[in-house]
Amino acid sequence: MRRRSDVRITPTTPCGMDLHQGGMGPQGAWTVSLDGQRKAALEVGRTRLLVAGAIFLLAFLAVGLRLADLALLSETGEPRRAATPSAAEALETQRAEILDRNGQVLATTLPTSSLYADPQKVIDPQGAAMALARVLPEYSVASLQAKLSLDTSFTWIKRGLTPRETARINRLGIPGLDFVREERRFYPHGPLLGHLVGYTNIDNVGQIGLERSFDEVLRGRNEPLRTSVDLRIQHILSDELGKAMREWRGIGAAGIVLDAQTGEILALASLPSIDPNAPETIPDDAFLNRATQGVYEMGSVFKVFSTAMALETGAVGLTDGYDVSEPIRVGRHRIRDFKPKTGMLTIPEILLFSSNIGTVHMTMAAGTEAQQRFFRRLGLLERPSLELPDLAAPKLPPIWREINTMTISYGHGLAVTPLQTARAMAAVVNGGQLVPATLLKRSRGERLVAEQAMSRETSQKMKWLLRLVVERGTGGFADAKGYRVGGKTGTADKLDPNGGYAENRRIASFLSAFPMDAPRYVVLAMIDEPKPTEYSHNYATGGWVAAPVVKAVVERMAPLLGVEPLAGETFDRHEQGQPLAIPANLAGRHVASR
Amino acid sequence: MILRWSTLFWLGLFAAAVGLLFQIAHAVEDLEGRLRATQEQIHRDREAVHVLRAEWSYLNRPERIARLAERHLQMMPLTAPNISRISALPPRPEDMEGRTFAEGPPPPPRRPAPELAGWRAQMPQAETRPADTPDPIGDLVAATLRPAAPQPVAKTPSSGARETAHAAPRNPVTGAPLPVRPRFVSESR
Repeated sequence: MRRRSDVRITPTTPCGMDLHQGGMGPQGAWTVSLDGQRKAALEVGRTRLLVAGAIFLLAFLAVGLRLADLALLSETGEPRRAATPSAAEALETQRAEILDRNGQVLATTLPTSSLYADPQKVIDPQGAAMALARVLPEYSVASLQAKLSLDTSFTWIKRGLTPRETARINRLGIPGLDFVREERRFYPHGPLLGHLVGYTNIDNVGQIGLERSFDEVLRGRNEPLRTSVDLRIQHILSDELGKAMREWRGIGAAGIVLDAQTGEILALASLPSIDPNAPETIPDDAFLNRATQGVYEMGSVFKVFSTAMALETGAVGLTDGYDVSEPIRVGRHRIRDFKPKTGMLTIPEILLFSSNIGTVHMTMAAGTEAQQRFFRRLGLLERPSLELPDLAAPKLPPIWREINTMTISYGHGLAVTPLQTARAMAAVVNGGQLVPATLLKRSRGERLVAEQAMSRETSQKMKWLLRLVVERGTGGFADAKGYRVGGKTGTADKLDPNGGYAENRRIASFLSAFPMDAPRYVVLAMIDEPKPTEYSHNYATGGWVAAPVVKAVVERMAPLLGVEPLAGETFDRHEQGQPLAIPANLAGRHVASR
Repeated sequence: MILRWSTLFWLGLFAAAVGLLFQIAHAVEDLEGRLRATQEQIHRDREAVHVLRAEWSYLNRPERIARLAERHLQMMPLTAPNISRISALPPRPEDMEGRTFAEGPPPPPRRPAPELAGWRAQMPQAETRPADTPDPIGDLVAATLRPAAPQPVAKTPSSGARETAHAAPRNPVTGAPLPVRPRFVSESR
């Protein structure tokens, strides 16, 4: 609001001199100029106003900027979780799940509460202990009271409470007790996969099995670990092995089902089993995983590899034969047959009737070097690779003499794990490729790194021979109708702790593959120390003990895995044990003179 | 002089803005509360799903399923003769074109397993199945086509007074008695 007046105020110099007109203006108006005290006061007021205005301006500017910043630029304080959670996604846990090949849960982590006490805050240790003992009956009042009277500020009472226990302890309202939310590993299938999956300790650190070998992986991610194991096959294998172990009063058993083409392990059982949900109850002698950590002299099962070796090196052909009437004498040793035959046996017959003498003859025709080379190519002389901790290395003879070559040819003097045996068998039947065994599910179309251990022709011949053993030889009890099982029995004497071989302690095994026209699965069953029964005419051999296990396993698993049974293939059992009408080309090779 | 229209207008706008701001702030707070509650619910649900998955796996233990199936279901293990190909099935009655069983039906096409045949041929001692030996799948087909021959009534060991009261269950095609499984006391409710 300007004041209207006639007075024109014009700029003047400090001494009152008008800078424009000087003296009187044209309209005769006066130039008024202020000076002295009043002017000074006015000047001060103006300066203060300016300063105050500038401060206010700055302050408003700051507020405005902050407003713009809050409204437009920053999103702090907004809950950002809105995007992440979804009910379909898996719960974040400290340790990932382990699944079987079909997605069944083998190991998972469950949220639980753990109870701890701060004894210094507990007012009445005796009363609290008595109340607690009523909820936790496995603890005595005395032990609880001792814990609650400790001179520390922290002590665990019980870890891994059930939700019901948690609620009841909460209701007691004892001061000084508190819960910690923890996670506990849970194994829904318990002893079925005890050795394979393993277990963790209370702090969720893997102790044995897959839990240990994949400890870091499982802890680092939330994605489940998908194994190659098929829960159903594992159950079948372990069920049948358990039945056989009880029937023959064995001290243990082991079994493997292996995919012959991909090397995936579908089932791996070791009995007696262990319960991963209660690791403290496991007896010490049950920890051994017989399939991967136990080394055994496999016995006649090795004749499969010896025969393959002799055929591969060309030392013998299918129509060659040897005289097996006479035991072989080497130094003070004598190599005999379990059921001696007389006369000449062809190569198929030697395998069919499991003749030690014949196998030694054909191995010696190939030589020690060839045997070592071939067994090395089959992975029988080195520690196998698998995703399990503490794999056993095979036990080789310190010096590989001629006598070792002879005994190893029929499975004594070289101790290997059942895993290696099954893997070598896969190579024998799948066209000669040694595929690395694995416990992880292979992805579709995955390229396999496999070594050619033998030629396709040898593999083809071996398939025929192995089928023959089951059709007409010692493996008759393994003949699952329609599924073309082929395999080889094995009965090995166990080593006596006092030296030499024990008389009545043996390992009965059966190494097989099916269907033999295009083998898909290798099945190995092994019973430790079976006792002969009257029913078996006092035999406890691989053919009596382990072959029926394989038959039952194959009959149960084949429909699940879509193996088509074929008609035909039946064979008159009365002919069993009769020599085959195979034209023999008897060169009369002898090694007995060596 | 002090209360001009423009002042009133700005004051009104200010009041409206304040009111709107309060309402929005309140609505946001409410939504945030609901969001938090929903998130908690999702977390609880996920935890429950997780625990239930473990429980589902626990209840699906193969040995438990086997035990329950044995107890409650009349099922038998699937054996090789039970499995066949569609092409190995006998022709349907309407495809028989008036031919009767007595004249003999057209032989069902049977696939001779090409790989197996080839594999056998390569072997030095390829075997052929003797004519008289049983053939699990072929026999099943043959039995289906043959007119139902009078079958001896099988006396099953478990057949008691109750079993003989009404006829044993029979295969509708062949008339052969179906396998009888011994029942448990707990099942006969």
